[in-house]
Amino acid sequence: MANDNLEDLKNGKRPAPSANAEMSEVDDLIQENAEKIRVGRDFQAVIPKLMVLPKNRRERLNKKALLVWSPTDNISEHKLNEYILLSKERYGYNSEQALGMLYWHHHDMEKALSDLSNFAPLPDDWSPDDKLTFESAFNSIGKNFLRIKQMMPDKPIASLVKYYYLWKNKRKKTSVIDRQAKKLANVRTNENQNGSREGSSSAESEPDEKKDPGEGSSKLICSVCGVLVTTLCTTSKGPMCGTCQSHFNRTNGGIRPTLGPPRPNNRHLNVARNKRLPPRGMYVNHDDLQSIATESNGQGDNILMAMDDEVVSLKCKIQSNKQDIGHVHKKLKLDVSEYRNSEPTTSRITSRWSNQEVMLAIQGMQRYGKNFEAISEALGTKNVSHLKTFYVHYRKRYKLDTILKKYDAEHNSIIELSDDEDEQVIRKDNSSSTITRQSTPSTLASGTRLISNISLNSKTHQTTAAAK
Amino acid sequence: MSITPFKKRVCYYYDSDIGNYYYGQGHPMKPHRIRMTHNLLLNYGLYRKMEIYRPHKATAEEMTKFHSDEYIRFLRSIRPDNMNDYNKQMQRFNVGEDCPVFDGLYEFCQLSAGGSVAAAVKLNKQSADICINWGGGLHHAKKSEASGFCYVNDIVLGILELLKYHQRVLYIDIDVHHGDGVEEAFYTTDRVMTVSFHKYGEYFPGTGDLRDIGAGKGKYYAVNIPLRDGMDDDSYESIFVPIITKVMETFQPSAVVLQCGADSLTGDRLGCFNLTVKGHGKCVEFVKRYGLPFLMVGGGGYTIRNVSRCWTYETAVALGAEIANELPYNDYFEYFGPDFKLHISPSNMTNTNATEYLEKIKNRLFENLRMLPHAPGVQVQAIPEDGVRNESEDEDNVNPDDRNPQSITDKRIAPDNEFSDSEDEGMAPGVGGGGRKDNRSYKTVTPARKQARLDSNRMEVDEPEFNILKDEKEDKSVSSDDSNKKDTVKS
Repeated sequence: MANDNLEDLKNGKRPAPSANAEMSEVDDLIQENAEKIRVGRDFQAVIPKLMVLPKNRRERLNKKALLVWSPTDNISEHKLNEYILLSKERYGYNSEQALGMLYWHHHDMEKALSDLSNFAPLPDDWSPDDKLTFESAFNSIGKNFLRIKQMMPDKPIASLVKYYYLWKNKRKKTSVIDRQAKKLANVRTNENQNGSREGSSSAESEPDEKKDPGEGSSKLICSVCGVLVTTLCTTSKGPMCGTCQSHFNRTNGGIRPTLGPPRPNNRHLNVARNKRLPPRGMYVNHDDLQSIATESNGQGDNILMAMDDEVVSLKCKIQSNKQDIGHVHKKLKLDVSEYRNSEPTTSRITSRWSNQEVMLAIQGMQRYGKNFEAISEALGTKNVSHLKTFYVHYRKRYKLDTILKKYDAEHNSIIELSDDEDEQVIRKDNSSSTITRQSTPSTLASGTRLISNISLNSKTHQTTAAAK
Repeated sequence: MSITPFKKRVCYYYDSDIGNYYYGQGHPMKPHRIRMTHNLLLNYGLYRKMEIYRPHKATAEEMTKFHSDEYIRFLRSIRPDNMNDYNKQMQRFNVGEDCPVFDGLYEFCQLSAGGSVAAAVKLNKQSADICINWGGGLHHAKKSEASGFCYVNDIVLGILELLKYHQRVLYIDIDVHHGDGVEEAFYTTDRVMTVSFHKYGEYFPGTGDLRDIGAGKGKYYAVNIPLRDGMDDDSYESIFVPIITKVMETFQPSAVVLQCGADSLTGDRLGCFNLTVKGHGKCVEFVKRYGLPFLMVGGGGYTIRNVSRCWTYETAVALGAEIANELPYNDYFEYFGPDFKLHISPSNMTNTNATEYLEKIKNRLFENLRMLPHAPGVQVQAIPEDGVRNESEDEDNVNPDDRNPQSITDKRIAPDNEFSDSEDEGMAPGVGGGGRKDNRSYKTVTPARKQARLDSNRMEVDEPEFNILKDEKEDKSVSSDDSNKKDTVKS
């Protein structure tokens, strides 16, 4: 569109207000073209006097706007949705009308439900003919609704505008009219070229139908063209769909020529056709197609309308599902960040040792001795068994034993007494007993002390037992 | 006291016919956007959370509360088929080009004005906290002249209604165009302060200079914030929040009208700002926090899918409801492709508003606001009425009894005011020169601007990221401001 033109419309082209002409002329000399707010009786509003709010006459203040809905706490969201859905499906109300009815009955659900049938809104008064006329008028005239109205005198302009906006963005893909027009054209060509191309309308849809056999095992399949149908006609050559059967009858037992079940190598030959393939998972009910093609206009239209309704309700569901997903995602994000602080990196444990980790492990030993639990917590990226193997492997290389000895010397006078054997006991305890599974490093140090005490005790027990 | 209670009684005014009016082929103003908004509200389930009103058609009598009898008579009688008989009057009332004669023109004006007037009455009755009329907001219309797609100024009519029971009414305008119609209507009164944030410089309607501050009694009661192309969310907030805070502090209105023109959004067909729906909605959120009787009206907005997104979001903000970023399926679903999301992302256009420039405007406006007496023109008999009102209102409202001493002290320092008036006039030319300089620099940027606009059209719309931290920060600043305000009043 001519964007610049439109901008001009609002920016530059505005004619100078005539009443202001002389004044702005003077101003022009001083202020480059700037428009000014005009002052005078002709321009300002008359300010009303301040009144005291009439307390007792409040209700009299206005009956101006009509209240059509007011929120209520008595009906749950879920119930309200159900009610709207019901009124929509059974009586063709839109949700606004349904809520209006409910409000009319003072939020009494029972009354509203029973009254729904009495005020069912009139169905869309746009017949397919109207739609076709509108479309052709629009194509030849453009968006001049005054002139379109001349072609459709029974429609008010408001109705034309309303329909235009509903139709505008849908026409490219899903317009009922387009499809109807196409079908009509097909029917006509069928009539013209009867005999040999008899099956052209169904043949046209064949590429679509070929998808079915894989998924529709429970449905009835024509043995000739492999199409899903709801009713099969049994013939001497097996079950057939309506089209094949009529061909069969007319040609005295001839099998209708078809492309048959899926022939993938066939596809690249007619690229233009492939464009019309429905998306995966979509199938065409052959009976419906046939009734659209052959029966009176109204019939086919009904089927298409029903399909449109179905598509809309599915789209509704998709969007509400998306909303739910988005909601859950958002919640998840918040929740996760809540937990992230308290529980940092349990998942990132790897068996590979980086230099930094090695340094940390050695420093950990200096601080915690052989308390591998404590060290693994401090490291965050290694578990106890990793540290144990680390100890075994690098014992010599990093002189871990001297570190440990230093640690022992510093920390525990009791452990000083203990020999290698005792250490072994501690390690065993460490891996098996639950008492030692303390979580914080600070308690672990005392924990080991405790264990060594226990082990000492048990040793003395043993010795005393032996003595006895 | 911190933030006012979240849930508000919201009333919404809509007539199902309003979307059916059509300005004409190629005309950017499309009343259909109001229906699209309505449809989104319905499918988001926001509709059922509000009181829904079908406005009456405003009578000629109601409209002549502001407009001249002659002008309204003309609007009532003109039709597309008798246009040729009215050539002279059309020229006089500026009807024809921007403001075409279309089928149902008068009814359209009636519905738009009826909604705003009914909303104002509703607020006067105190039976609602927030009223919304997306069909209104036609802020360019003058007393006897149509302008900028506007014929009848529903905002002025609404404010006049509010003034019956409110001593002071604040009008805020976040349309990309200057709210000249409203400013002109209340240019000489101290009971209405008009604050307009708009693009200024070679732009419709041409008014809205920083130096336009009102006249007569209304001097300092018109506040204009002239801005350049490419305003983004952050810049906008950085000027909107301090100015409105200061205005609230000094003017102390008892009701607020916010014109939510959506042509300040990014990618607008006529606009040249770069705001997102979130940034635009933040203004609503901020004003809402003051807990004053609040009238929200529509206005400009010419990329209709974004307009309906914006107004839907702002309705949700008014309700304090959270809505999903995924749009629900609706009658006009295809309009919102390819992403079908509520929020839009800004374009990469350059923001030609330097921080220093905004700072300069802000300081200059603060100077003007300092000239205001704190509680202008309080009439003694008005106070009991206001007092009754305030008891049932939120705590944000300042008790007029407390304010009284302040107004007395203000009267005492009135001579100082006059002195500073003249001082200000002496200063004006110097500042004016600065303004012109800015104008010139704007012109040099013009070629870049169009490019930016094209880019913005090409931009894909993505879900903008939440900035929770920043929101919190803003919360705090507001609450602390409020409490400060209260403290000062109390002391």
